[in-house]
Amino acid sequence: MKKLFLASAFALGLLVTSCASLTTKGGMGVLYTGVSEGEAVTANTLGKKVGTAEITNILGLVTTGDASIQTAAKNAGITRISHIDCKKTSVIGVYGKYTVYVYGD
Amino acid sequence: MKKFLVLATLLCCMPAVRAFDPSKQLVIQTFPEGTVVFVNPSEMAAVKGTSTQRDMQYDVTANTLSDSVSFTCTVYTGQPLNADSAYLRTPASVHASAIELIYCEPKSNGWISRVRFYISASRLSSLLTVQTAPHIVFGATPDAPAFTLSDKKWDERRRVLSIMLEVLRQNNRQNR
Repeated sequence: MKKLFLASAFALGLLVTSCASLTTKGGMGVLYTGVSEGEAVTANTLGKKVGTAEITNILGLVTTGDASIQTAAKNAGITRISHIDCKKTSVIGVYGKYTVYVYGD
Repeated sequence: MKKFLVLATLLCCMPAVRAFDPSKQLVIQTFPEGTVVFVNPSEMAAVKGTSTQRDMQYDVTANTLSDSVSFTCTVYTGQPLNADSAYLRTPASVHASAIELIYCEPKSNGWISRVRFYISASRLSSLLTVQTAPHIVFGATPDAPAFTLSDKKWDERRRVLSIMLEVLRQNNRQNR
């Protein structure tokens, strides 16, 4: 019974691994991923305001949030966007987070 | 099998037990005119007995072109936030700053307000020498939304904000 329980727990762990993974330009780390990437750039001069918005994923079962550019810009009162970066975090594929950073004035 | 499960459990706990690294909380951008430093969003706990509904999220932005540091905050209240000033209260002083409203809209059973206020870098620097966490209060009424930090969280915030101010000082020095 104990062996059956442990085997089931192990199988469940394998099942949910990588469910919360993200893709990056440098590929994904099996154990941990923490990268910052550029998303977009405009012709506007580099802004001095910064707005963020994020999405989180837990075990690939629940994904919530709002990482839209509109929300990130709205959070900082940005009306003229200069560029957009993002940060992606994943821990053994069971926890993932995507954060967008909008810069502008 | 048992050893494998123990190892897997320890591996999963690794991210949680890493020592706090203040520099990981900062995003630094350099542009031709100067440097922008952004402190990632964090939370301040709501003070019980005030009109706020939940903890406040806030982030901090500063740049080398201005002496002011901006705090942009998300406040959840039962009614639309009716305040024109934010007060930073320590045991020894009170500092008032005018509030700039970014937006105010209904959410769930209440209202969400996104506001910004400014504090000078020198004033912030002196505030960071205080051991006790300050209270941030939006408005002057007795039940005005108020927020603070635990001693441990305040200590972490002091380290992050001190590094932010040092980045500004160093990059201001380079631009002269």
